[in-house]
Amino acid sequence: MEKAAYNILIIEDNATIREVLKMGLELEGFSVSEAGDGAEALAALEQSPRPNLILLDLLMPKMNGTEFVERIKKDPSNPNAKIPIVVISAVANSAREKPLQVQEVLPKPLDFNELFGVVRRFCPAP
Amino acid sequence: MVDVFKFKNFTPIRSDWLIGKGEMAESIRHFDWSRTALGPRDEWPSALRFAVNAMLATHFPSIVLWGPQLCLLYNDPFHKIAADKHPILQPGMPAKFAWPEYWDFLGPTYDRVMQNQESVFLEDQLFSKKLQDGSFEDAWFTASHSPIYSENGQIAGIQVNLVETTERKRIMNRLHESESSLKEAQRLAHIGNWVLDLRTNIVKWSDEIHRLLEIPQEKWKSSYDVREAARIYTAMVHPDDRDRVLQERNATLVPSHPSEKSQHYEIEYRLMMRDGRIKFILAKRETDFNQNGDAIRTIGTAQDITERKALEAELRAAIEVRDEFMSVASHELKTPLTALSMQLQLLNRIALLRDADQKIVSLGKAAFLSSQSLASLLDELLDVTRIRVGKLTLDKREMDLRCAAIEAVNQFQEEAKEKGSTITVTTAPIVRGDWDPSRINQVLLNLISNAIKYGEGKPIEVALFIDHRSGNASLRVKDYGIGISTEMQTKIFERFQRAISSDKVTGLGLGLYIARQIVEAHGGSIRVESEPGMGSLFIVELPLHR
Repeated sequence: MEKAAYNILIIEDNATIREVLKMGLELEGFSVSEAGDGAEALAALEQSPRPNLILLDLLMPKMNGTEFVERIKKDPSNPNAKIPIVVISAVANSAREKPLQVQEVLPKPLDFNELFGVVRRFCPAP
Repeated sequence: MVDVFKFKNFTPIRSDWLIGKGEMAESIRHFDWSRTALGPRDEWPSALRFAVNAMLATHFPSIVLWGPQLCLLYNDPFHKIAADKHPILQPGMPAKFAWPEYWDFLGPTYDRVMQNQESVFLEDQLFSKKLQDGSFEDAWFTASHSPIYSENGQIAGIQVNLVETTERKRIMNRLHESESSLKEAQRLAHIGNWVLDLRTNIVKWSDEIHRLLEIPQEKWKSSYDVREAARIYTAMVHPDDRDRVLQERNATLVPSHPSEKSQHYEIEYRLMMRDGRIKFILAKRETDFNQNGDAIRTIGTAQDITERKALEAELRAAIEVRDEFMSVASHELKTPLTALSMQLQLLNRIALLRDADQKIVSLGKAAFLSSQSLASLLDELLDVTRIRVGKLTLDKREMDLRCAAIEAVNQFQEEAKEKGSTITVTTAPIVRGDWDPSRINQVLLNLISNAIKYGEGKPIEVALFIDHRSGNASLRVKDYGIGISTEMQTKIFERFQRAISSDKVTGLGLGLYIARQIVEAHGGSIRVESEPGMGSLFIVELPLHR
């Protein structure tokens, strides 16, 4: 029997990028859920099982990445607040984004090797 | 025959009253005057004799007109310029017949002299003058007409002396022409000039200055007391610019250093017209000083540059629109490029996993590299739109340039090897300072990538140390490749310039421009030392702190 795969939630408004991310992660053996913006993601978190990691785009309509982080971390007692978050951002200077309460910031376009390296940190191979 | 003086041992000078020598003197001496209204010469009254002798003695062209008919006698200088005008200009002929063409003003002049006993001056009168070759040309003369009195106190004739004023007249004409040219030019270019004599404190404004200030023509004055002029002018200066204008005005009256002979100032400000219209003015002035450092004279110009300013504003607006567009376009292009890059990466992974055909694998890798090239070109473009004066923001933090340099070099080791170059790094153990890590990385990547591009496969040396004298970190990247000509050495740091254009070299030519903006934003400097064929050495200096 397959052990339960890690679940990663992708929050990204661009469908193409979401799709290629999903494909890549699934190829690596992860299970993937998606959301097109922060609001959608919050709703999804209420209903589906908790993901092991969140990949978060910053520039999104309706609710952007920064606001999503604030919302999800607002109540520290909520277990959702503990989910590790990796930001994937097109904004050039990644160092600037670090102050957000996230675990890591990766620039776009993503380097898959780098991405898997970071993901494995939070979802270590058994 | 009249004996003039008879003294013992004194030889009488002459027995003839006529003293003059020369052609006309001889002509008068031997002419048969009995046929004329003047009668025989030895019966001429003494007043006439004196007048004739004076006429023959002067170097001025001179005429004597005698008697009611104003009979004509003239001297050699006059003969030279006037005679032979007619078939015969005969001594003794009445003036009316001598020059009827001038009679409309000469007649009344002679009348005035004869009747009113006035001395009359005719200034700059146009006559015809005989030239050496016998031809005639226009000439101007000033003629003085004075009454000659006979013994009985009555007016008997007119003595006329002429001075040619042609040259002066021509100069005056040229001056008027040039003055009116100047006025026209000032009007055309909307530039007025003024002169201030600091000893008399009188200032003269040209017409155009008056027009600039929109002073009605009837109020124009040829000169003003400097305080009055200053008052009128300052009142027209835009209230926000007044302080600056007054400051500049006062500053220019003192030499900045003792030996200064003349001082040049330039200032731009606005005038506000009565109806609220704004005029932009470019004013220049120059003050001359004497030996003691006193200001003696100031000259200045004021030019209406309103149109130019409007064009400048339009241009700036257009450039902003363009930059905005470039920024938006670059961002728009980035999105599909991001997707493409990730898709190609994934494609290559899958190809490897499925043990795909070698051709597919290598094509896939190539496609990915292409997308990376595209991405970096786009990044350069994006950077340029972000880099404008003051718009480059730095995120400075403490970093070690040594680590950054080694990391950057490592990134290029493979590419360098492909070209045949080896990159060596020589660095001080620690090179710490406050810099923006990602921006400095950009500079490093740019310099190293250029060294590989233009290095012709020869060794590349990167050196890093702290210059304790200047307190700067010094980064040097040296290649032994193609080199850069002197004229290109300054241009390469400007936008869109490449020292050589070649199909083998890629890029937008923005790398060094961006590098320079980054380095200078840190308060540092970048320069190149190079010789064509000998390679190039790029030197970057960065202050360690702040």
